[in-house]
Amino acid sequence: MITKKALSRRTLLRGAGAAIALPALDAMAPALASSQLPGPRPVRMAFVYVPNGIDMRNWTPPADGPLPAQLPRILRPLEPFREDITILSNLTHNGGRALLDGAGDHGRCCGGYLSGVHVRKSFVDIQAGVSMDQIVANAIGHKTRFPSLEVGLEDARQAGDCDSGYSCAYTNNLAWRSETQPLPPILDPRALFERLFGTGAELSPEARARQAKYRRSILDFVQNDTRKLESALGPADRRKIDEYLSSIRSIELQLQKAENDNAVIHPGLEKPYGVPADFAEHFKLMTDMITVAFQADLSRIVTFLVTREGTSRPYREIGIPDGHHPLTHHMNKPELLEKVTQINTYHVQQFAGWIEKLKAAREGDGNVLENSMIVYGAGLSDGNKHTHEDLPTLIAGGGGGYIRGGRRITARRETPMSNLFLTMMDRMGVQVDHFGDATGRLAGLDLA
Amino acid sequence: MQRLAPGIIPPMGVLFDSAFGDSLEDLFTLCLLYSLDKRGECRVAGLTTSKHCLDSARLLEVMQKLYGGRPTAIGMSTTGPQQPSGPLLQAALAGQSFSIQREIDTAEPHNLLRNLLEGYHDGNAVIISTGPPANLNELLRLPKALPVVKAKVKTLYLAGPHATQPPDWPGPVQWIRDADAAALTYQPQPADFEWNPLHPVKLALEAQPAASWSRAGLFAALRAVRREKADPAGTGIKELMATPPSRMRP
Repeated sequence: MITKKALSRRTLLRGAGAAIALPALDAMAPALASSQLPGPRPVRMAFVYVPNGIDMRNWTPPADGPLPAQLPRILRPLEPFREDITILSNLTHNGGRALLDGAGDHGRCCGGYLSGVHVRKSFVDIQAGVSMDQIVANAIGHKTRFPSLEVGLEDARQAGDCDSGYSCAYTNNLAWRSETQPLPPILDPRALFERLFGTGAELSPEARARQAKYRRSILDFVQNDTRKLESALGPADRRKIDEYLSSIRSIELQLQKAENDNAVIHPGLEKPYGVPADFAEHFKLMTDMITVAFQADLSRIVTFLVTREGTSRPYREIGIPDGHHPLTHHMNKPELLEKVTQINTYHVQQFAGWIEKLKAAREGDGNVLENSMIVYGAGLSDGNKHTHEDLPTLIAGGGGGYIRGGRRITARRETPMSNLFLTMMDRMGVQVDHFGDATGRLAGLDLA
Repeated sequence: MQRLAPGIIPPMGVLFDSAFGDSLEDLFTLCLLYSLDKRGECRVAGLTTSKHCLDSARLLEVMQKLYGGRPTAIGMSTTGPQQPSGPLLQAALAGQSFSIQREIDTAEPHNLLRNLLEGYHDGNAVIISTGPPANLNELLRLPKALPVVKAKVKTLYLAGPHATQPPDWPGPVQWIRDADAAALTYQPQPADFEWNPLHPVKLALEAQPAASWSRAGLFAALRAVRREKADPAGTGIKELMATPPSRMRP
């Protein structure tokens, strides 16, 4: 029985200089059960890119079909989510190969990862291709507040020569709005937070300073609205709102902690304001915010460049002071290979933490992960030899009941990565005839 | 589009497409191509078979490894029903080891051909086709592949009774008819050549001692490599006969 008017899906909690979107609530369709909210659940997609290839010996499960009880070492953090992930083998990015352009695999593999093109070798006159996330964003971006979000963890320049004549624009960006316009990732958690939840940009510097002085929480600014809304909601929705606002508060606390940490540990350094010193914490903070953005349907498309391609970042937090890139040229020395495997596993550990969060985020009768396609992968497979075939790729999530997880699917050799992207675009409701070097859709991914 | 740097002529890339294993001649043609590759006269860039048969792809893989070829994927057509292996393939594969176990261990031939061609300078690749044109037809249907074929493939060589010119092929085509090959005078030369007892071609030859072939594939291979490489007007094969026989050992 319909008892009152449905709450708009675009309802915002408003306060001075702040506006917070809401997750999907039953009250948005009061006459229907939560599993029957109007229309299909939005499907989200994200791309999590890790650089310098992956130790494939410890990545690839031994056989096709159902995943074994014990996953290969690098994937072991994902064991609790075995049924939610699909490992894809034999996908190739031909555009990443030299194709007469000589050295520069790191520049090529990242620059063309999401567009399936062979980027132009230049650090002045750059040319890549429109990345698939932007093709989708152009088509469905109007349905959300942000057509797409570009996120990263490592500060990196956007110009100059980063790899044998390839511009840093190639190694340091995943998303390309046009052939010549990359979309640099947001690295500072506070910048992402304000972009997602705050409208502080509209305030003058003085007002921002005043706000910062008195602010304890962005939630304070929307307190009145929240109270009004909660009084009109049922118990299930009230609980959902509580959880949602708590997760925002938790992010705020992490940000404050990061700022305090930086103030204590690195006073006077030019490190971006509010960026956690700890890699894992930074990763968690950014992915927590992406989770909230997904829950609130602020955006359905995310690219996440974990660190830039070719990075020589050390991982002292896990006892590895060597640079990542030099380590990947391990010449099969066991002690170096071991460190590469540890870094690869460390990355997957962080990713598993995000998957856990997405799975815990309820949405109707399911969860956000079920309605997402989160691709985790690299543009190189063997970082030592710079190979561009059999790229390490997995998809977490069900894509809205489209993907049956818990499997390893092996395509035929040389199958273009673009085939996967074309299939994902279909699932996002964006039909294109041709993309990159695709030869067709990727067979076997769907439930059929 | 890439152009060759002045004065530098990299070896011509050869893509060999056949219904591999249907004819003994295809095996000899591939041996000849690899021998020319070893001499630096060409580069065997890729191998594809239009025969939907795993043994066909496996034998290509065995030959590739035997001659130390580049470890590129083997392209195998999967259109149409699977074809039987046949005595030639079975004999040639006896005792050989290969990694191809299932179709996923092979590549889509049209995709492979496109990918390989993209790695060559403009006009510095040839395709030798001795089988049905299924793979080449698929290549032309692949989106955006036509300009690649047009730019990269200098000439398409067709030989053998099953070869057919793909409609709308965008570049020059050379037919090597059986009659052309039969008109050649071939005089076996004494040489210190001895088969490796496990050489797949020797095993195939022993399994089909009465088999005959037209030598059109061999002629096509020689012409494709030598004529395109050095002397557009020459036949290439005469030059080979005029020179002392070289040691052509696997």
